[in-house]
Amino acid sequence: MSGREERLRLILEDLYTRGSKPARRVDLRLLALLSILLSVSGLVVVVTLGQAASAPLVKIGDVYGNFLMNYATVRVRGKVTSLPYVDNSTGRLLIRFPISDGTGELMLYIYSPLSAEALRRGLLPLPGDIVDAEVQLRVRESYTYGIVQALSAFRLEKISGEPVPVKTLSPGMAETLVEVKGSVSRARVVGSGVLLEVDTGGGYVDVLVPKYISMMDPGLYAKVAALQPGSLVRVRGIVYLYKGSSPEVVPRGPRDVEILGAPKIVEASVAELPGHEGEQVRVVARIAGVEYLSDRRGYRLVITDSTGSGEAFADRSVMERVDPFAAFSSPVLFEGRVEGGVLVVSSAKPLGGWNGSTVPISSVTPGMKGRIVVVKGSVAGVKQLRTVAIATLRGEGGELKLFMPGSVYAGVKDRLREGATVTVAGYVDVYRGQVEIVLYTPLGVRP
Amino acid sequence: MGPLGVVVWTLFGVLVGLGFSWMPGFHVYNVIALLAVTGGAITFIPQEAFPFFVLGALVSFAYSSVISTVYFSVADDTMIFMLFPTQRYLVAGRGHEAVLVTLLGTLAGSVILAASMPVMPLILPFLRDVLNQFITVFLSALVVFMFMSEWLKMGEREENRLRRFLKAWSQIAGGVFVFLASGLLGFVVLNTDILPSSVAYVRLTPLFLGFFGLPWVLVNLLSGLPVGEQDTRDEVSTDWKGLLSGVFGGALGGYIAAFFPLITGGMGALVAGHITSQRGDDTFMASQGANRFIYYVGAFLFLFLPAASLTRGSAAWLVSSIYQPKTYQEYVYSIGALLLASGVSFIGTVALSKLVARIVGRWFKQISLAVAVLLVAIAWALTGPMGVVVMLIAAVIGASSVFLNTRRSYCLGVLILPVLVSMTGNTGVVMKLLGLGV
Repeated sequence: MSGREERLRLILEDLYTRGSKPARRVDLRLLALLSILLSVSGLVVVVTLGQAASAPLVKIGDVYGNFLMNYATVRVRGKVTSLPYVDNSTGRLLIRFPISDGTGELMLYIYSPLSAEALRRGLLPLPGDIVDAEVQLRVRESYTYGIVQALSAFRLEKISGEPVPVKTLSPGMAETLVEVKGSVSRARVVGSGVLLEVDTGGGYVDVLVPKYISMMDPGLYAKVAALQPGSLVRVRGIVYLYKGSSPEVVPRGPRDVEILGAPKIVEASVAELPGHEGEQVRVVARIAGVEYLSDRRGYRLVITDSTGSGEAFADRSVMERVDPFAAFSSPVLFEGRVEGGVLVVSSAKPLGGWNGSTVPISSVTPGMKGRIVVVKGSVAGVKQLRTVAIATLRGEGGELKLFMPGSVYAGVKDRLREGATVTVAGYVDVYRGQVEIVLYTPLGVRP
Repeated sequence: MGPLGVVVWTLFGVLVGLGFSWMPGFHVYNVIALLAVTGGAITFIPQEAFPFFVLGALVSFAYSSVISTVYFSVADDTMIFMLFPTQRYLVAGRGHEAVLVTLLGTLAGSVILAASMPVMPLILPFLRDVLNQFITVFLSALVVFMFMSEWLKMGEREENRLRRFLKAWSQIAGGVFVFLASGLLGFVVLNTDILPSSVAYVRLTPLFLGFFGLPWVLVNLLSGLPVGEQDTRDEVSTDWKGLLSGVFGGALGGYIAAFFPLITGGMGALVAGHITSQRGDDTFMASQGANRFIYYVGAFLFLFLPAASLTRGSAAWLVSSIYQPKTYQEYVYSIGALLLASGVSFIGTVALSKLVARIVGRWFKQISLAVAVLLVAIAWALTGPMGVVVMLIAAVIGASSVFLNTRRSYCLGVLILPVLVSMTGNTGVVMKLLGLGV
């Protein structure tokens, strides 16, 4: 041993063993080789045992809430009980849906990237489908759920067969495959998609085109969302009971939704409206009266033209876009569908602008109830309550109360400051014997 | 539950933690799992008290487990980077000093964590929302970084080019082998019924006992490391600058590990150690004390944040399946309980260290053997004979990391690999490849 090596040995001994020598020398190379061999052999054994130990099929009732089953990989099989929730708001697509096997209900989650693949392959479960899946359980204090592990271990038995053509729906048809054809009588965007009311000729059928269709075919979904009443459609889908009792048709994919044609619109006068029952019509008329129907969350309108007067109904979203200044001075172009002799308005557009005339406050009387008026004055006070706001307008010959919903007040409160001079337009109403003007849209206040 | 209940159940947790955690290989998670499996947790501990009991046990574990690391060399993966410094201190008769230096770091970690808790409800939801979608990327990057960080570092002194090449790459190759082998084992265990589903919660226990417990017992028995008389005076030879530097780096690593799922204290420390570029045994030990505390306890404390919705770590998952803290009052209580448990655990661990320092020299091998028996018994009790088989295979893989002179952190492939496979949507492909299940 050279002097250098001897010095190194002494330093190492002093550093690590303080002069004492290890009890024995261990051949690390041999141990390393042995450990590799044993590791590989052990893995072969484990994989072989694993091949004979598939995830067991369990009853949901047996695993729900059992915290010892947290992270267990098991197989569950059950019937889908509700519409799938499909969300892409975080940029990572999530699909979740509940299944029931008779012993309990379990929510299953398919996370990205499996979810995108599931959507691409059309593996989207709908109510009534049978799902057999390998899932990893997560047991939390108040709920238990399963995460789908692989699409190869996810079997979906869809409701199959030829779709049954239907004119109306009943709860007894739940979880059956149907086909509905007709003209759209109403279309509105709801939280879960676009809800269509389809007139089949023999009745009305609700069709929900879910948001997930927008992830499969954005173009089609946009067209559905923009459907005008009167458009012809054909939809195939499963009958789902909304809130457990209201049947609606839910298509599985874009191929189940067909837009067959644009609406046919008939030009008519007010007097001719009853003769166009069920048809899509266009009428030019003046608004002679407005009344809010709280149970229908919309407005009953009295419309007039040279041929007579009639009744129309417009929901709040339609009326919010009708400028009361313009409607005070000009006739309005209405489009809608005649139902029971009443024009159900889908759009209303004044044909001209405001001519600048106003009504003196002192001239607004209870006898003008329902009429749209324009008045000018200064704001004497504003009181905001929980859901509504009441302002006092002082002008020619006296004071007048202005009543408005909270949503309208939110849009006009900058203009409706105390002391400000404003021109307002709305319809006359009488509340507890006192006359007031109801501002139904933020368009009804001008500086 | 009132403040008195919080104090009582936290102290009970501390007592249980101190009673078991100093034993080598006896992870507090195993104690909690045993309590859960035997039903003890839900029969005599009130549900709303369970989080505080676990908090006490975790805090005392973060403190007292340093004893087994210093005196018995058995460590979980978070202790890897302090093994050599503590081992050096031990053979030099300064085991108690190593415990004290580490405890100083742990104590500092307690204070930092308690001080940071009030701002956590503001920061964490934001961080979670921003970073959550990149978890797969972070995990993949970390695995690559682990391999890169020991890139070709041993071949410089070999005689010729071929030997230098082989020597340089042997360590990385060993790491890759351990990572893939542990990952494969984890994949099979997590995706089949090889261990009974009825005890799914504890099926990781035999794996971790095998990867991190048994190999060190084996090394202790094989090496016959000489442990002489220990100095038990309460004195440390260090400087504040080094300690503070260690605590800063350790706390950073702890927060990284606590926040990101699957990243453990050891991996967090690896990243933070590179960021802060630390040197010196005492700095390392203080760093690891702070790191482990924030990793274990911090991750669990996230469960108490009412609006954060973060469940990190096995303890948090178990507790959340029994009782999820819901109110700001419980959140405030948790900070108090953390400080209370830290103080008691510090005093208790110092006393325990002195006790163990007196017996370790005489009973080193016997204790190692007893530990081996204990680990097998735990695996058997929790998961049956198949659990013991799985533990032994894990132990062989864990031991190979020692013999291949590579990091034992690679054994975390047991979780990282299956999760990466799952997150990238390839579970079905791998199962088919292995002929499993589907």
